[in-house]
Amino acid sequence: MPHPGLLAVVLLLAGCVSLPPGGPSIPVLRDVPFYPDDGTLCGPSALAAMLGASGVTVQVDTLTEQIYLPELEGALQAEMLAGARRYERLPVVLHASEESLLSALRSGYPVLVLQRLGILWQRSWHYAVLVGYDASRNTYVLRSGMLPEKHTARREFLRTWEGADRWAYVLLDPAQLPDFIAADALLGAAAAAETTGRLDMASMAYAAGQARWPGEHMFYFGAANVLVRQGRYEEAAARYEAALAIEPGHLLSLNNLGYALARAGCSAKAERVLAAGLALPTISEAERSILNQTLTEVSVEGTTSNCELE
Amino acid sequence: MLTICLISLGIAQPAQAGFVTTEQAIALEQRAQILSAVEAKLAAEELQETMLSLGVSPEQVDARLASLSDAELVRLNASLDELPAGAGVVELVGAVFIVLLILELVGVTDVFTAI
Repeated sequence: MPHPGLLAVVLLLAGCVSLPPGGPSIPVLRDVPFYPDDGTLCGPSALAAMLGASGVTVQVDTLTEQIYLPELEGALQAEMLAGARRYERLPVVLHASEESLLSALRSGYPVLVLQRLGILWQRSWHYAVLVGYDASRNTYVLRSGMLPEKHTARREFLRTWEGADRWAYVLLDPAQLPDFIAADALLGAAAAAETTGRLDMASMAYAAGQARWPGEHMFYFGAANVLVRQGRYEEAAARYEAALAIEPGHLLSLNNLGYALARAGCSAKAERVLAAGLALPTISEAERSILNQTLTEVSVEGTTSNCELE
Repeated sequence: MLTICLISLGIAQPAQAGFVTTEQAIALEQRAQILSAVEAKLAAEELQETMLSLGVSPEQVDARLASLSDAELVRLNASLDELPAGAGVVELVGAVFIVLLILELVGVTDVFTAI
């Protein structure tokens, strides 16, 4: 009778060896369109495929004007993200692990990947769309270049993806939040939508984040920031207070609460909130300077008028 | 002039000093420093020039800049600065040199008389 602990180790090892490394096959996602490219338009072609899969039909030519840099003969990562947002789709950058790719595929989401192809002097960057995993051949299946279903050996694919710092994203319809999305990934995506003025998309993503992770104060902070941008200061103040109920020491929520209160005509209350923040022992230098600046502006504006939040 | 254009187009819409965006809050948490609105605006100004020089049409450039977030503007501008100009050519010349050297060493060619 072997030692039970030893048996467990043996089983674990056996499991590692006998299981297909990428897990069971993931059938090719049929509803991802294919836009062949035999030149340097892999970026626009891959983005067109991603958008198509999420229900937005855009021609490669149109995307080329929006994200391609002719003199570089390529598209840069930031514009691959920005281009998707122009069509009200939320790009969410995945955690840099193979498991995150597989989770997305298993949930039916194609994944845009950046690869570093070639050897020595013939190196090039390449965008492709991951659409499946074939366990029997141990290959990843990609919409890539001129091939609608290019099979690349798993090891080879991972090497080329590694060469591109494992960069990958999925596109979300902001009204839907699939299970495989991580909280910090969603927050980052929503924050970029907020800054670029895609406020409806940001608002939906923050709301989805609040529903999924009710203990995460940053989704309340983000939702409040959108309301500030929309000029809805009283509602924003309530959201900052919700963030603070979860994380009482969140100084940036206090700062923005002070800002929103002042905008809502409640300068006296704003000053009290900011002073309370500045008195917290946990405050960092950067936070202190932000809160001080806000306090100065609030004091200068000064007038308390029609405040309904006192 | 450029600054006026950018602000009127709503790019990197900063200026509401006192108010901290979610991107700035994330940056503060990750890098322990604020991603300043000024930094993003400067990046947008530089990027406008760079994009035009890289063949982006003047009609498209502002819309492209406007669709980039503050963090993306700063990151993109930094990464374009890092791109070695004409790297492909330099690498190709180096490769040709190595091939010639190998051919020379194995006695196929006789380009380098000193070897």
